[in-house]
Amino acid sequence: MSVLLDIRNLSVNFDSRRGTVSAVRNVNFSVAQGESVALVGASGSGKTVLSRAIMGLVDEPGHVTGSILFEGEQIVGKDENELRKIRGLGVAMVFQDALDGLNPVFSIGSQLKEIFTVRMGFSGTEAKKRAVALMEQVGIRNAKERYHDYPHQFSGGMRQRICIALAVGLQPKLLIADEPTTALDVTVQAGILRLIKSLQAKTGMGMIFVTHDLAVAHQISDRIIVMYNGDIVEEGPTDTVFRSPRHPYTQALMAAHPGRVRSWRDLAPIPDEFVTDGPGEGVISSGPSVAAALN
Amino acid sequence: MVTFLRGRLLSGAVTLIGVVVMVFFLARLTGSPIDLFFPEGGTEAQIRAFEQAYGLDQPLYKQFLIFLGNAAQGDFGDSIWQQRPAMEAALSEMPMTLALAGIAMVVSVVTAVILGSIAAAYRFRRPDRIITILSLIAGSVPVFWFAIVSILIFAIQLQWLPTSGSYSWKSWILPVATISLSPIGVLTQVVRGAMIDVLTSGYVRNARARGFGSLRLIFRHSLRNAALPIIAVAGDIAASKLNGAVIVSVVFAFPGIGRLIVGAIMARDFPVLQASIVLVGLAIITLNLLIDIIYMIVDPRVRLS
Repeated sequence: MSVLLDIRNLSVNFDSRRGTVSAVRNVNFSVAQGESVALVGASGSGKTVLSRAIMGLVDEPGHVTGSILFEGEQIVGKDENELRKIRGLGVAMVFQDALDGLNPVFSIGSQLKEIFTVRMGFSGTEAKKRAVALMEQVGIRNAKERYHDYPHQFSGGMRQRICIALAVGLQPKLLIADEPTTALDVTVQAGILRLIKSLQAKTGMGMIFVTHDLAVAHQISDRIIVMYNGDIVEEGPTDTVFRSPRHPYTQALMAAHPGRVRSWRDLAPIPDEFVTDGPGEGVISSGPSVAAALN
Repeated sequence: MVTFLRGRLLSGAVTLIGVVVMVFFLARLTGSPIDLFFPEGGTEAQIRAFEQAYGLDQPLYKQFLIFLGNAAQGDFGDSIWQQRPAMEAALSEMPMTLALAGIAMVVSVVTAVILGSIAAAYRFRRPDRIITILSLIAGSVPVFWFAIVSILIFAIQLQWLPTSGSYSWKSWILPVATISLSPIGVLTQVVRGAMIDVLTSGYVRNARARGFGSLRLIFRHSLRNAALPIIAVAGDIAASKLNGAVIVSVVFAFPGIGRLIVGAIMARDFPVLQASIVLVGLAIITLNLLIDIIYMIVDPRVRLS
């Protein structure tokens, strides 16, 4: 498999009045074509910032340094106009806030149609045909009638399906799904996951699936990357990492997962030493301690 | 949509009836016009004739019923002081009021959209701080104080502008500035907030992630959404300006329904007062209906519910 995305020495820092906050520190990893990678970690571990950096969506006061090669093309340092060409067609993203993801004043259909007319130059009628097909593809029943509906007439799960449709509609090479089921009802989550998985299998796109849910990561990924406090602390094939986690943080995460225990009494909360209030405050940081833990 | 409009028309009618009842009885709390019309005390016969001419000899409830019956036919009686129908007097002042309110609203909205957008673009940085502080001051300054101080500075000290009247375009500047000041302050904050909300919203970020250009992001994916709260607040302010900006018309001796109303209260010219208030009420109700319709066109959520 050839490399689709290659990230080297990537750091993302945010300047603030109280100094610089490092959200992502010297991260290295790659994603092969058609590969599904889960990015796991607690809130504030830098998952979302990392995925936004790949999209070129880190704004002031954030600064990205290092290298992000997408199909051999350097993304870091590109201006907005060049990034535009990659977004949507090259890398697409599904965000976690499904309820805020669609513009409330435009119909579902017109928002779907727009990606085809604007980004692919299709005529109105052709774009509409594709939009309806896309709605059917993500599991919207009566797509033709619901084409003219507005986002507020759709449930949260259906809105996220439309957001997914908007992301995969242009057949990107890489899909970044940033906790796409977090804002949704548990009963809806499984359906969305199945949808993403089947779309990925069908189109052969690479995927980075960001989640803090280990069960979801296990279900959806070939490879898993564990982030803690801005660093990648563990990386490996999903099955291997699940069978024998090496980093103490990964072990703690696994122990805290309810899927592994019989009763909630057996749940092991994440030890206090791993709990951070935000980036740059954890006890383990990059450098020797992480290396030691991994060896 | 039809049901919605029918509901709004109905509530507008109820409001108008309320206005009619209130103005009739409140006006009569100010006293009798007889004392003003005959300051030296008229003869018994003169007073009787005056009372009969304006129906003041009838008991209050009867006066009210007569007033209602006539008003329903569009007849608001004759002015006590001016020798013409009350509604005619009120209508003749409306063009000036509408022009003043209209110009002030255009000035307010345009200024506020520019300032608010700049503040949103530079949010939490220096331009935003300066605009926010200025807009809070503008929104808090008492209108009468600003009117008098601006006359002192621009009309008396600098002698750039006339103190009062409405003779040339120059005499419009201070009244328009006075009326626009507080709306500019309030609306700038509304625009700023609305713009920040939309620019940081998930749907604009998603649109950007789809590879749309910044012009498309602003003009298609932000403008209409940001317009919603601005329309709501600007509409409210516009309605409040239709009373002819009483303070402005008094301080600047600027013609308009405000000046007419103040004069009618002072003179206890009930027919003119009633006609003017009903006319203003009608204008405000119409404007609100218009805003509702605009809102429905812009926001599908209102349209369908």
